[in-house]
Amino acid sequence: VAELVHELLAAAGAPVEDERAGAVAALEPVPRLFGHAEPAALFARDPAYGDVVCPCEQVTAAEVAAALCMRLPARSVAGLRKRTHAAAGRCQGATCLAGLASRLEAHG
Amino acid sequence: MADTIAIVGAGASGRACAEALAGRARTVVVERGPAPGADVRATAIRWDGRALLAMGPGGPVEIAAAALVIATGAHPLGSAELGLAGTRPAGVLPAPAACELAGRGRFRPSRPVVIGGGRWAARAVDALLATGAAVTVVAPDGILAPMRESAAVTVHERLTPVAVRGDPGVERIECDRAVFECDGVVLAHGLAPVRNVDGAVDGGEHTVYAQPTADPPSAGGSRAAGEEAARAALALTGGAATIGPWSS
Repeated sequence: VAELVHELLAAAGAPVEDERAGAVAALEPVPRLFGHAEPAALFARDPAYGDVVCPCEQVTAAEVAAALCMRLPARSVAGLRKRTHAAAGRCQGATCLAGLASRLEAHG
Repeated sequence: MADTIAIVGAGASGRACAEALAGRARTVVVERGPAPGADVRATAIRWDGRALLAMGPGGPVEIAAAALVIATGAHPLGSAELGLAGTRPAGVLPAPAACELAGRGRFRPSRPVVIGGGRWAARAVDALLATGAAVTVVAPDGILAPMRESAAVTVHERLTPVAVRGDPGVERIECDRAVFECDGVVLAHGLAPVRNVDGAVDGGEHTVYAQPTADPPSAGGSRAAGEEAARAALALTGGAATIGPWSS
């Protein structure tokens, strides 16, 4: 399945080099605030962790920014939701959907 | 004076709770929005029965408290809570997001369906009419809040939505006795309490809830819920004996 996805992405023009040798390194680690043992350390690393965009899933501006800038970046609210869990919690986006849309728009 | 009571939410219920506790307990009101009456401007994220963790622009804040009052309001039901079957087409939005995005010109369906007949449905109708849309209202419990009357609004009461179809965008909504073609759906029916503090989502330790879900909401209902929560929270801190009759 992974190879099929790889081929499809390559066909669509996505930047997919063969990274099997160092595949783990290709995953950009962006720790989630939700349940994190040391929220102070996250905030020290990036003050955007202080901006909780989606309170249900406790997704911060840091995580949203990472999802917008990763190698296969989110280009829609659905893409942000898939990558960060924002708008996927109990209120299903009633609180955060408009904010996510404006962040997406501001990113261009 | 009893121990500290943390209150999440500076809306009508949270403020009423803080006022009812004035002079009886120390209170810390945590609020993530720009509402007045907040002591800590941050998003409450975690509760372990002894301390509330909140995250704000200045970093994490820990508030030691003997009891927690959740007064974070309510949101309209989502598609799963409504029991809506079907795919997950684009253009199906919760009413708060739909109102905000329609106001900014980022949600412009020409013939949307609004599900609901309460306060959020009325707001959504206003927001959509302002964009020039022809709005169909499907009100499962009838019209509960004053709704704008207009030639561009068609109301169907006592219909239950069953499924939303379309790919990639929403194309129609199926109800028990009718089907409506549409290019947008606003979910505005019912109210469920907003619960997002980890450890206090569904019955936390030393936690009480002040979240009325009447639709339309009333100032009196919010105040009563806040005062009742104040009483319950004070009892949790061991301060019950000091409670006299409430002034209201």
